[in-house]
Amino acid sequence: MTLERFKKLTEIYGANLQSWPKQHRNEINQLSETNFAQLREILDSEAKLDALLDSHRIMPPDRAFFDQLVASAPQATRKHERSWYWLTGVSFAGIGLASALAGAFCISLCISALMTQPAEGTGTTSELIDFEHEWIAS
Amino acid sequence: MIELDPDADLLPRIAKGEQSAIREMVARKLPRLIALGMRMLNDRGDAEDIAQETFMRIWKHAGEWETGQAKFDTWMHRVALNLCYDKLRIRQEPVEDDTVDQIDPDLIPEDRLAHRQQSDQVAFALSMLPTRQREALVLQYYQEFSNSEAANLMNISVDALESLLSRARRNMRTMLIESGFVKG
Repeated sequence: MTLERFKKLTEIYGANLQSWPKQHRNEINQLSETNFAQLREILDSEAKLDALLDSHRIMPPDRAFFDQLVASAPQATRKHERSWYWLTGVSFAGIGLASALAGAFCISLCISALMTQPAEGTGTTSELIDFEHEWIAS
Repeated sequence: MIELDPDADLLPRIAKGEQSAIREMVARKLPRLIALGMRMLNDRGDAEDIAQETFMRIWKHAGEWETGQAKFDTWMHRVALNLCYDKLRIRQEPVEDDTVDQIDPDLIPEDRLAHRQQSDQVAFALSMLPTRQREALVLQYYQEFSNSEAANLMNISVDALESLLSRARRNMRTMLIESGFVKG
């Protein structure tokens, strides 16, 4: 690297060598051994502009804006929760329906069993039916 | 060697609505987006609009993000820069015009630079740069992208980026130091 090339790169990337592309940084070592004072002068001159650029500070965002952005994110968890509630509802409805069907089946079995009782029976069927009728009515 | 994307692990968590990941993403990226918007547009309200709209895109695409392609931060800057350009077009500022090589400080009314705080003077000088020069300086110097990343973001070669950077810095030097508005 020549001094001229070094000056040109300083005018592109500034005086902070850390912000230079790595391949250019690696080239500086050899040059600095023989031209240290000139390199220092070039860097000092460009550092004035860097200091001015660095003085441009941006006020950090306020908390209310931060919260607003966080709240704007999709609430996927709530969607999952909604799905869970929906599935839970379906499950309960399914369980309820299954129970009702099982109950109805039992009753029908009972009734069938009772129906197979000898015709003379004990009147239990009538009592049962009457009781159920009253229960529904009440 | 594949460079790890430090933001990639947050995205699937954001897609699941994990609050800690959402908060971390906003904490990491909001200051960068505001800084980008402010330096490109020199207007706080516009910068916040850019940040808000960029986050909407982030939320939308978090679940589809595929690692191994562009870095998330680079993609986010591309989105934000496009939004900045939309704002500049609305303002009718020439976004692609890069014919202005050197700014003549005599054409800037003296009171626009003098009597301001130094930070405001720099902000104003930045706003006077041709858009592509400003973009190059903002990405490489302020947002700390490497030269190849900044060139990639701007869809130009590294040589073209270096040319823009050189002219941008020369113009800033002319406006801020050589014109005497700021004592260097």
